[in-house]
Amino acid sequence: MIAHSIQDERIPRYIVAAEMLQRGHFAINVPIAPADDIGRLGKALRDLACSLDQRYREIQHISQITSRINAGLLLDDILDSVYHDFHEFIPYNRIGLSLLEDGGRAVRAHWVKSDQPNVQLTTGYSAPLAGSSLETIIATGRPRIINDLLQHARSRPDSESTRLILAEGIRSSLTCPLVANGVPIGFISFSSIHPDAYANAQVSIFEHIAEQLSVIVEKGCLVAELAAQKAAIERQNVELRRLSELKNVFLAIAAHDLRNPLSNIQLATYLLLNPDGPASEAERHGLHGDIDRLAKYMMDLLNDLLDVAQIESGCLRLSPAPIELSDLLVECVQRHARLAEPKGTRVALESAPAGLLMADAVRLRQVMDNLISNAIKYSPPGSAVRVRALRADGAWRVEVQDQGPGITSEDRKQLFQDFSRLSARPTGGEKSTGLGLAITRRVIEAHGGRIGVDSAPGHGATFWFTVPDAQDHSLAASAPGA
Amino acid sequence: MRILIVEDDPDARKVLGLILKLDGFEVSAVPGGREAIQFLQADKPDLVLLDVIMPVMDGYEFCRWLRANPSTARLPVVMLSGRADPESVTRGLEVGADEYLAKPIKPSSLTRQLHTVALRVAAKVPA
Repeated sequence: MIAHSIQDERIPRYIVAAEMLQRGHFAINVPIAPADDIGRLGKALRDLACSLDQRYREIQHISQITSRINAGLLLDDILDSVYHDFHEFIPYNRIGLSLLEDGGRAVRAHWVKSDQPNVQLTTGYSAPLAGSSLETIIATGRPRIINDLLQHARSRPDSESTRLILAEGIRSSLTCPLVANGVPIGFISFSSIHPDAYANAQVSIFEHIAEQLSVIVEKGCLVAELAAQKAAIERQNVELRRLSELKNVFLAIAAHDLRNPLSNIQLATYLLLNPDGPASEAERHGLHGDIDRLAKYMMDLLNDLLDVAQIESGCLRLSPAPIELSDLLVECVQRHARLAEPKGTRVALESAPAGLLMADAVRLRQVMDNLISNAIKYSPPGSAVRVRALRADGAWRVEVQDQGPGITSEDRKQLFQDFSRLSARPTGGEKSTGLGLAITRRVIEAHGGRIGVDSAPGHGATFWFTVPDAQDHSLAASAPGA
Repeated sequence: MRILIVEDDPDARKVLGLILKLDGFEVSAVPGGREAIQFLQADKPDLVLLDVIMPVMDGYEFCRWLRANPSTARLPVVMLSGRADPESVTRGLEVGADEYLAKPIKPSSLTRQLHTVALRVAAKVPA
C-alpha cells in the first residue's frame, strides 16, 4: 500500500499544485479519482484552492468597493454607498452607524438606513455607553454577533435600544467596532429581520470591512466638520456683509439727516449774528428756540443711531424683571397726556388688567414712549389716543390707537424698517428720526414678542405688540436683526 | 428778484426765507414738489431753490417736470441738499438743475450764488 502510494503518478502533480497555490495561483487542476486516500488529498487540495480563490476575490472586491467609497467625501454619501454595495457580502435589511460622543461616555445614532418601513431607533438617539452591551464590543475590539435578538432582549430587559430595534422587526445583528488610530470611535451594525442571519459569517471579513470603514468614517467625520465650519464662516460672512452695508446706508442717511438741522442751526445763528438781521425781540427769541429744538433733535437722532448700532451688533442686553404693566402704562399715559395738552390731543388709558409682565422696564418704557408719541405726532389736533392692555394666549398685548390719517399699504411695508420715510407727516411740525419704530420692533423681538399695526387709510391706526410670558432672553438678544 | 423755496423741512423754509428776505429777495415757500407745481400755475418766480430729498415728489422728479414743461423749461433751478456725494450731484445736474449746493451752505455767499445762476441762465436764453 505504502509502496504503491509513493509511486502514485498523482503525487508529483499535487506537489506542483501546492507550489502554485503558495505562489497565489488558485486555478489548479488536479486528479481526484480514484477516491482512495491520495484521491481524497487531491480533492482537499482542490477545495482549498477554491476556497482561497473565493476569499481572494472577496477581499479584492471589498478593496475595490472601499476604495470607491473612500473617494466620497461626505460621511452620509459614504454610508449610502456602503448600504448599496455590501449586500453581496453580508445579508442585511438595516445598517446603522453610531458614534461615541461626550468623551466616549455616550453613543449616538448618527445614520440609519433600512428597507423596513418603521425605523424606531432613529438618527440622534443617544444612550450612555456604560452598562450597555456595546461596552463589551469596545473592550474586546471584536465584532459581536447576536443570532436571536428576542432571546437577547430577554437577557437584557432594560435595554431601550434593543426594544426599539425589535419593534423595527430586526431579529439578528452583527456589530463591528470602528477604531481610528487605536481609539474607538463608534460602531457599524448590520441587522437582519431573520434570526441567525450571521450564524455562518466569517468574522474576519467583517473585521477587515470595519477596519476600512473606520478610516473612511473618521475621514467623513472630519470632512463633515470642515463643511460645517465652512458653512458657519459663510453665514458669518453674509451677516458681516449685511452689517457693513447697513452701516454704509446708516452713515449716508445719518450724514444727510444730521446735516439738515446743522445747516438750519448755522443759518439761524448767521441771522442772529448779522447786525442787519431780524430786529424784533420776538423773531430773535423764535430763532433761539429753533436752535434749541434743532440741537435736541440732533441729540435724539444720535441716540437713536447709537441704539440701532448697539442692537444690530448684538449688544442689546435686556434686564428682564417682573413689571406691574398697569403701573408702567399709567405713568406713560399721564406723562404723554401732559405733553400733548398744547396740541389739544387727549391721551387715555382705557384698560389695563393687573398682573406682572417679564420685561426690561427701561426698554419697555422706550417702546411705549415711541408708540404714544407717534400716535400724538400723526393725529390731528383735538383727537384722542387710546391705550389698552389685555391678556391673550399666554402673552400680554398692548394697543395704542390713534385717529390719524392711517397707514397706507405702501407705508406699511417699510414702517418698521430703518429710516422709513412715510407719506404721513407730523401734524404739529414735530421731527421724526425715522428710527423709532425700527428700534421698537427690535426691542419687542428681543423680548420674544411681535409687533404690528392694524389700519386703513383715513380711519386711524392701532399699533400693537405682544410680550409672551415665557421668553428666552439670551437667545433673543444674541440674534440681531432676527 | 423773486424766489420760490421748495423744501419739506419747515425749519429750513423759515431760516432760508429770512436770510433771502434779508438780502432783498422776494420769497415764497412751499413744502413739496406737488405744491410747487400748483404754485407755478398762478405765479412765476425768477428762480427755484429746490430741496432734493422730500417725500411724495422729490427734487429730482420735480425738476424733470419743470424741464418737460415749456413754460418752466428755462426757469433757473438751484438744488440745495444734505446729500453731497458725487452721484447725487451728477443726478441733480442731469435732471436739469443749473446748480447743486450741498448743505450746510455758507449764508454769506448764498445770495451771490443765486444771482450768478440767474445771470448765467439769462445769458443762455435768446432774447
